[in-house]
Amino acid sequence: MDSIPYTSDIREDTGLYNAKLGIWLFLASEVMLFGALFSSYILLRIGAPSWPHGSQILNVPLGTINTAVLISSSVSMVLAWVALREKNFPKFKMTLGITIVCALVFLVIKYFEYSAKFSHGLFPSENTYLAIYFTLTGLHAIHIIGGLIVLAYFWGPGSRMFERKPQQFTNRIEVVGLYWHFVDLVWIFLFPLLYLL
Amino acid sequence: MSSKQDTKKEVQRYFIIFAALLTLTVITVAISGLKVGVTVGIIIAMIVAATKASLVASFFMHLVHEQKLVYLSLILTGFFLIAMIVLIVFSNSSVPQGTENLNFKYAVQDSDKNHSMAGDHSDSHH
Repeated sequence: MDSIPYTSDIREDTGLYNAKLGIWLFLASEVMLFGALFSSYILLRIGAPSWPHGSQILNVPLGTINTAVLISSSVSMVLAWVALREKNFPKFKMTLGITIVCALVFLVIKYFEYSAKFSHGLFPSENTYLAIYFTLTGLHAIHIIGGLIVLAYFWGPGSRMFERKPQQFTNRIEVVGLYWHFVDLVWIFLFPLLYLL
Repeated sequence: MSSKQDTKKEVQRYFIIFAALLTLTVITVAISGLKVGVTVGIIIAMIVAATKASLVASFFMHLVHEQKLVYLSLILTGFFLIAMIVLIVFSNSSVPQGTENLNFKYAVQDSDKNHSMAGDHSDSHH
């Protein structure tokens, strides 16, 4: 018997297994976290005497590629969950692997963007535009790294749970998928705000 | 338990949403080149972003088939998010006298630095 209840069974009163409600409540807190930073962006921008157009500072093609990369990772993430539901473990490994690769590509592109800025002496301390750019994308990148660690664990040693408790493991992938889609969602707003406006 | 057919349709739907998201991304970049004011640009960009976000939330995050409790939590979250944004934006109109342009020093300067940083977009107050 599980010491933690409702890891695979659904609670009658909520209609959910516990982790799903838990992750949604966590995502609610993340909405407030990123929402606060977005609000900072708005305040800094409307209070500034001038504000550059994103394309003058940032690399729009790279940002567009990163957007496509994250969207692709979201698709492969949900397909990984579907594969587990269908008890197709090899397909799960492949689709989750694609998700992880996409995350790494995103981080590599971000690394090139950041290092290009630093090599031109453009640091967060330079002005409020760069300050909010590095803060928003930096926090987002930290979320990608955190998600990447969890995804890698579930791809590797964590996937052993599928043999003993397949439903609970499937639920775990669904839950980490919800987190991952949220990270993609944040970027969907970040990209136009910082790069295109 | 969903049948193989249901799963196939579900996967097909995910790929359709994928195509829609990529298309909307291209549209976002394309319309950012239009010569509209900053305000209009922000509104259009946010509408497109919200469309993409709702596609991800509804289908990838399964919100279309979710339990009431999740909807309730999200509505509550949305309320507080809007409240926070509104309060912060409106705080800008009631800064104490003499502190209005305090971040002038830290805003983008187009004077001494040699990087092509500042924009010629004189409509800074959108």
